[in-house]
Amino acid sequence: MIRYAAIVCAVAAIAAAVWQFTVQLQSNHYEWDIPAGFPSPNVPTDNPMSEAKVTLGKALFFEPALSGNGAMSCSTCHMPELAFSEPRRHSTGSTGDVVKRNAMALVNVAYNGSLTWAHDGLNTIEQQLMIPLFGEHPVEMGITGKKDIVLARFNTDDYRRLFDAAFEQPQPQWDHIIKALASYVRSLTSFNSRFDDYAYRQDDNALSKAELRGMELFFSERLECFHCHGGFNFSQSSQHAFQQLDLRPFHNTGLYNIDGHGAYPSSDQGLIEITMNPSDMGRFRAPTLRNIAVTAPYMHDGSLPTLDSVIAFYAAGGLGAGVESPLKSQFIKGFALTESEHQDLKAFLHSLTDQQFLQEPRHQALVNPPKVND
Amino acid sequence: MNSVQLKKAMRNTAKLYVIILCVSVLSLFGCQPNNAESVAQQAVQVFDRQLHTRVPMRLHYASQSLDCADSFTHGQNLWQLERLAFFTSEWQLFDPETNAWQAVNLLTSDWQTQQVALLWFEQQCTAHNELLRHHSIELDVTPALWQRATQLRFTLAVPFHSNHLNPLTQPSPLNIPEMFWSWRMGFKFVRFDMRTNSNELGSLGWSYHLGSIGCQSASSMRPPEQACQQPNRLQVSLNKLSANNTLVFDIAALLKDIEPTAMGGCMFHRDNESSCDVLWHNLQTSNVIRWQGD
Repeated sequence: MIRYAAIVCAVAAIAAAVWQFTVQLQSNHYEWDIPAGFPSPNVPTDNPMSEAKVTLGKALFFEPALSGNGAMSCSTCHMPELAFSEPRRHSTGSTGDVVKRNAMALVNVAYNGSLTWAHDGLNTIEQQLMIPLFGEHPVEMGITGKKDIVLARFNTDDYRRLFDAAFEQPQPQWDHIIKALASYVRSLTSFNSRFDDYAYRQDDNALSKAELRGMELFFSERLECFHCHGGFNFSQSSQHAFQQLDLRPFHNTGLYNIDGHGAYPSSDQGLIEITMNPSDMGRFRAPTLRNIAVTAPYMHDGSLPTLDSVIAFYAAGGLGAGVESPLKSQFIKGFALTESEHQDLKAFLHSLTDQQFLQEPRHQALVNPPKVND
Repeated sequence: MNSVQLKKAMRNTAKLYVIILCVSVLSLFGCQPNNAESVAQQAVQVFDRQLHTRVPMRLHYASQSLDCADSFTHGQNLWQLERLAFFTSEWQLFDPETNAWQAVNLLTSDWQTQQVALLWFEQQCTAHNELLRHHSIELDVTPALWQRATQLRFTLAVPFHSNHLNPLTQPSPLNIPEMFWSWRMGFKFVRFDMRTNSNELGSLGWSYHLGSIGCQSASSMRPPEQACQQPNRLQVSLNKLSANNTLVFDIAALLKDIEPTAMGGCMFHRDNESSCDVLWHNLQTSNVIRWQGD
């Protein structure tokens, strides 16, 4: 009897090992484009990364057929050559609706503890994607009300092959579209700026003297830049394999103060719209500064056109009445810079540009995209 | 060994074989590759829970205990805490049985490495109306040793050997941007930010950021090779005579003789920060950290 039990257990053990090995192969089949020493980002357990998902997600990202009327793709507002940002102040949806905020760059989004400009409840890209895809106020991709029509466009041989490779189910479905798009966005990592060469790869010659002087200014208590743009992503909101804490990285910069009490225009008041907490008036997330030189215009509403204007804004400690805002972060006190210091600081911000990321062929639209139905 | 003993031995061996195989099967059917490891980790944690000691830390203004969104009056003004965070390290207990100081490790978590713990208090309430926080120290020490220890000491700082390392490769909490100055300067050991709103003053923020200063290196992205001129590491020593296990951080003691609206804060970036000396003196002499009730 004991002998039979032993045999059964042994067979079960072998079967389990084979099954586990197969699962592991499927779930781990992805090579992060992350230099040595950098931590890997967190990935939702129900959407592990795979090359097949990233391939499908990329095709979808650049595909106008993903919008309700076929007028725009994700890449219309997130342009690869601009670190997946756009040069306009406000984005415009597929039906012409004006989106109130400037499109954020998609750089190392996989590390973000929170997403969008001001939301403390969106913790995964999968959740965030629902807004541009299905939102109605404003309409962005405009899929709501046309879900079946849009889905049918992807029921082609080309896309069935891609869906099958990614999810072992050839039939397109929304859950898989969102997971593939999220995987693609998660794959957009950027760690090859000259600053990275200097700071993390210890190349003493990577930065010019002006850039080094600007770096010292950036990390000084005099300018306070790093208080909000801290950490390897130059944004406090970074989580990864070694860091799971979320420390609410939202700040009021004194951009507006329309009532003397710190109010922002009713068109966009930041985190308070989500939390209803009065102290969250005008609070927005500090975005990453990686590739910041190519992501103009700046601030949540794109109201500052150049890096020069951004430096001048922080040197003044806010804008107009915003300087005296009672809700402004206490680390935005203003500072005096000489013209050469201004140029040094700007030079340092330019050193955060990752040319390899901007020119990476894998980030560009496919020359021969998969076919979709009309 | 006779035949009966031989059969019995074989039967026992077979039983052992079945047990090993079944344990293997159970661990393999844990569904995910890391499950066996996580089961082992959970077991370690359970084991630790039986042996570790938790030391709570409360935030006070004098005798007033501060909870979520509470304010306190200091120098005629009502202040709200924005954040108080500080590192502790090099924990030691004096064991009367051995008549010697015994180094104590910390239990690792998002807030602690084995050597360093980060305490974190915020005024901002979470959705559950609680402070975003880490309000206790988890010591890897048996309750028995904790009970019989007569003295306690720790350092209000990150040790030099951990203070200037690449934060990318450090475990939490030694990679939290909010507490990191730069590789040259290392961490803020204490970060205290508060704000007042009044008709006369408007909105006024006030901060005390304490860390090592006078650190020499090629740039802010390069670590110093030698100790900084002012390490600013404070050892806190407490008698441990009562059964009271709760520590208090007293803001009133920290701000003794400080008039924030007249004296600027201290973040070590201007020559005229007169509050720096007073605050450092208070940390050394005013029982800023003490037992609750003392």
